[in-house]
Amino acid sequence: MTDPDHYLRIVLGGADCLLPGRHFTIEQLDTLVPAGPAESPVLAWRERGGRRDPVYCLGSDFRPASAARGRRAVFIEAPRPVGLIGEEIELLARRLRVEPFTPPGPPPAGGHLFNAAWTGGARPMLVIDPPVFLKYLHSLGRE
Amino acid sequence: MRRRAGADVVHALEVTTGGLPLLVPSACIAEVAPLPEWAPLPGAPSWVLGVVNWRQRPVAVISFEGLKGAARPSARGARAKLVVFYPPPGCKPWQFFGLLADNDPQPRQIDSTSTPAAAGELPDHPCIAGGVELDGRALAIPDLEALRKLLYP
Repeated sequence: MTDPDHYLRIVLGGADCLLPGRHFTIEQLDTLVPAGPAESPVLAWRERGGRRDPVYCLGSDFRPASAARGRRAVFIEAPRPVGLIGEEIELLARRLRVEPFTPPGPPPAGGHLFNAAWTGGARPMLVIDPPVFLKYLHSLGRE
Repeated sequence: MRRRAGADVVHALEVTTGGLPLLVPSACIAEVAPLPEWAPLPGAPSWVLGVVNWRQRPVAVISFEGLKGAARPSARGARAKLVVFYPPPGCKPWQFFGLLADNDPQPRQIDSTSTPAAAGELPDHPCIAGGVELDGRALAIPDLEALRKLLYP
């Protein structure tokens, strides 16, 4: 999960982010089972081996969005996998040098979602802290 | 402004942000730069405008007026500048932060003979420590410790 040489680029709520690691699966949305209105904020489920993995879409504030923006989802393959619909999804095949970054302001309950950024482009790309992010995504299902 | 010989002079920059003139010691400022494109920072407080690339470092840009609850500036002015502050004392070495300035900051000097601004001349803001009168105007001095507590609690 934390191999720094591997990144997945994902655009979430308009924010260009990098997810470090290599334990991802990308699925087309039409292979997933749509969630019912009562299952909000889950938008879809991946059914696999008798298990259902939730799929979320995040808005610009990283709160769950009520509609999918994108046609593919990335599953973070952890003991409890979670899917995330991205507006753009791209596996990066090159090494990236990232710089440490602390978002200003009080951290959310589980900690800051970002801990670094890649600064090789015109705008920085924020690097997601996978354990904190997973914890955050899991918390969405308890809301 | 005439200065008394021997008075300790502090070099500062007048940084106008959201129409509010601030007087910032030059020693706190790493650079004044053209305002680059910024990336959004999801989940950040409303006073964080975004993150920019500054000298290959990610630097968060804040709105000083936003710290007291004012609306975010909807657009950056054509003369807007990025004022990059060194990490405040006690912070990590990468915790630079940027302030959106309305225009080019101007050099100023103060010393022990400078007249403090009356409290009534300064805006009610959680990050203002005081102020001085310069050329008939009150310039607010930011409270860097209060800023640090807000930015990196």
